[in-house]
Amino acid sequence: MTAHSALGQGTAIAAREVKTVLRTRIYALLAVGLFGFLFVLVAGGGGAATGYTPAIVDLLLPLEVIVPVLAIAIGYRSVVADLDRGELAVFTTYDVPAPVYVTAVYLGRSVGMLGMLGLPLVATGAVIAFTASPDTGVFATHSGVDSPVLFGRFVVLTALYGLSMLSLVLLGSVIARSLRTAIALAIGAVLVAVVGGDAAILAGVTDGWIGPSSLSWSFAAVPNSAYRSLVLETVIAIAAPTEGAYGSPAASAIGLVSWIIGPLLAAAAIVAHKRL
Amino acid sequence: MDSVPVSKRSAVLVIVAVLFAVAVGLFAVDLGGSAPEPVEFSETRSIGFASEVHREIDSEAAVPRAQVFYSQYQYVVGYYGLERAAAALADPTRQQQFGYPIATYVTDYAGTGIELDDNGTIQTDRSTVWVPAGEAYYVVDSDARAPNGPIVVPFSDRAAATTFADRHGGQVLDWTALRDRPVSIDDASLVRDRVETQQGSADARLRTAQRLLDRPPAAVSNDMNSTASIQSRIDAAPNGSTVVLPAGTYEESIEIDRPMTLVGPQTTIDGGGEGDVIAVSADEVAIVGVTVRGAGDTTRDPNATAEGDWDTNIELGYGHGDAAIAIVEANGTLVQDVRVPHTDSNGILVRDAPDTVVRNVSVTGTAVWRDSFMGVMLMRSPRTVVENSTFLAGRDGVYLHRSPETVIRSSTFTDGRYGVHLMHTSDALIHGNEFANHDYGGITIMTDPARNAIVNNVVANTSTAIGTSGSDSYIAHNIAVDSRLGISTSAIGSLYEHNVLMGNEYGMRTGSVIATSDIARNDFVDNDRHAGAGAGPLRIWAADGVSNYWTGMYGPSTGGIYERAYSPTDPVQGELHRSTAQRTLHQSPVYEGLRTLKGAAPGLRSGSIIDPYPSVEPHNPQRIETAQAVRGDGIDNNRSHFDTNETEEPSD
Repeated sequence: MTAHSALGQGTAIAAREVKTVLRTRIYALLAVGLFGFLFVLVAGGGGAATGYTPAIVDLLLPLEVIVPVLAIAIGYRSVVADLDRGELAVFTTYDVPAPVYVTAVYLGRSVGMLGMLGLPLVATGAVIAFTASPDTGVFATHSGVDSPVLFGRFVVLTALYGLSMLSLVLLGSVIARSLRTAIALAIGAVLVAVVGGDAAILAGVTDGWIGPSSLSWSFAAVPNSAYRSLVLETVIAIAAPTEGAYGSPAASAIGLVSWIIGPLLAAAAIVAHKRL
Repeated sequence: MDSVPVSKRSAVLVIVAVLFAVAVGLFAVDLGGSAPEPVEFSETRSIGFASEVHREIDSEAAVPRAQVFYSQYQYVVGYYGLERAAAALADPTRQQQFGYPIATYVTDYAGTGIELDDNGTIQTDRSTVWVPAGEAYYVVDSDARAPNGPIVVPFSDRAAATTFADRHGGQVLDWTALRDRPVSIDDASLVRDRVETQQGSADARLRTAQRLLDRPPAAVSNDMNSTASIQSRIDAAPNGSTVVLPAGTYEESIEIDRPMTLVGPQTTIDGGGEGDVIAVSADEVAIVGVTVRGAGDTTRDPNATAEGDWDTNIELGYGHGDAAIAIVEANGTLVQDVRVPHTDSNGILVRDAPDTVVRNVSVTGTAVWRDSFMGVMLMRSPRTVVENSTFLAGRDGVYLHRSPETVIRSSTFTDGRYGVHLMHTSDALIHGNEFANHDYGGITIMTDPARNAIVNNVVANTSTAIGTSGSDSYIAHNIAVDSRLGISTSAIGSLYEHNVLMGNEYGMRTGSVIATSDIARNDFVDNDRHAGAGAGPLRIWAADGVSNYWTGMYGPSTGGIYERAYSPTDPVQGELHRSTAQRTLHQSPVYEGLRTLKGAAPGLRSGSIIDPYPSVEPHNPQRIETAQAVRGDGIDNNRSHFDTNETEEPSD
């Protein structure tokens, strides 16, 4: 089998996944719902009226909770549905390599994830751009360091966080043998990573085996902590004078990317194993 | 199996590559790169000088200025005086509220032909330009002065600074050294420290005035019978004597144009409804014990001028109406134990007459305030003392216009428009008064004056109990109950402490977009809304780690301070004292998480107030008891607060 045909197979599978996402109306509905939710948050929090940074502060925590839920919605059926319908067996017949299959499914689904998360966020940014205005015209005003660039960074980081969550959910979907176990596994994987990781850091700080110097590195090990520390460090800290850092940005970035790649590698290995 | 066409595939790849580049680029952008350009000083939100001082400065260039762009504050903050700018930049709470400074500019005096006149006031041939603060050199301790003290003068080059220092004294510092230099600013805490001495100097003025009571009685000549007019008695009396009036009612208007004392404890003087009843035009006149009625009904000169600013008409027109007693261009007058049972214009009009003392006086205006004028009208009459007096109905109890250092104390004001109304008046003390049922306001300060003290007053059932304006003022130990708004915190750079706000629609409300006041140790009890904020940065209501008491707040506490911050503007916390159901929402982890995160991020959030150290116990329990008594029994039955509350120790 040539590399070219593997690429062809991969893009075909990815395109199929994109079509599936586009055909599923509930995803569009979720995107609209998410925009409505974000809009209420920035409008209610007062962030929309003042600028990007306060709005990001309003959005950070809710997104930390919502993004995993979106990832579950988008991803939990992805592999297990193929198994259900016997399509996985078809791919085996076509001799699609496991890494190609997993990567293609992931890429296809991630288009859906990015669209569902990115479009509402960009729309929210546009709302802020229109509503955040000086309170009076009598005095000279300036925007300080508040800037759409900060919001752009926030969108990128949130997307990265979403992709890492999707990767975890995909892993769950690969392990599962039925749709019912798939959703349980997806939720389980996300909970272990998100709640379990933070709880481990908390326990570490409490028991003392995570010291002040290693704390900022430990965030890299947990996807949502990595996300949070990156937002605080590269978005919110820009606007406020602080001593020290909210985390180690490089480590957190590497951690977040690892949380994308790691579960995919595991998923590919499992798919390959299942065919034996 | 379908395959995707190559062209489509490349398109997707290009889009992905572009998105990736944009995403990386967003993090590569240096956001601190370009400093904003300086703006016209008049377009900044400026801090540092009251309007009173502005009148003394001929040109803007007479005072060095700075403008600061903060990272999280949409307005450019202007500072009169570099000392003040340096102090503000050193203040951590300012950073918490405005963010860090991204650009600071100062006025450059190099090449302006700077000279000092005999007072040390800066004179220039050319106007100043703006230079980045870090690139300028500063001459400190030179002979240069502003109306409120010595000033630092900035130059864009060291040679110009050195030349200036050689000629006018002082030494040259750079920006870092200037910021490290300890500075003392005339701020609100000085006003707090001043209250006692100001009471003392009012007492001294009172003692001086009381000496007018010791004048010898004028000999009554044989041909003057008991029905002789008051004017004839005055005309017959020598300078510096006391004219004692027989009991009775006299229908006449009189003029006192020589220093003397008029005493008539059982005497009524009726002006018949025309003009002033008693006109004083000489220094050191005392009027004691008389009852005065029948003043004319002209409240002011309506045709004073149509020119000039909105208040030019007021300054020229007010102070020119009729009055029961009119004191014009006379120093050191004493008006004591005088009753004005009714006036259709002013009670006592004081114009260009400094050091007047008004005590134990009662003035009653018309039931509809528009039909009469002021109880005491003070026009350009500094250092006046008004005490132990009662003002009922009419327009304003005491109206002050450019009458600095006036003391108004232990008096009662009811049923008027404003109780005490300050215009262009700085350095006044309003102490221990009671106000009730005013249509507009109890104590109202307008036109941005400085360093006023409003202390130990009680205001009930009024629109705006205490309305502030200007800067560097001290508003403390007051009680405001059952009013639409307890205290407006519009005066900037001020100290609001130990006030009790109870049963008002709004306890406090901040109007200024500049958040530079300290608001702490106040008790907010059962107001519809404890506090509200207009547009502007996040307000942090605390000082020195101590903040306020709010009914409705609850939860775990350490050392008498709730562990959670309280935000009166928060839709959930702000309602805690009104509805127990809000507690259910307050307990939600989602709510708690959101709040915590908001509190964690400094910077601007329009219209919000946060109290980081809400107190478990009230700071002023005794004053709360008084407030409850005032609400229950009315203000008249609770005069005892004058005696008790002054000594109350803060509970913290």
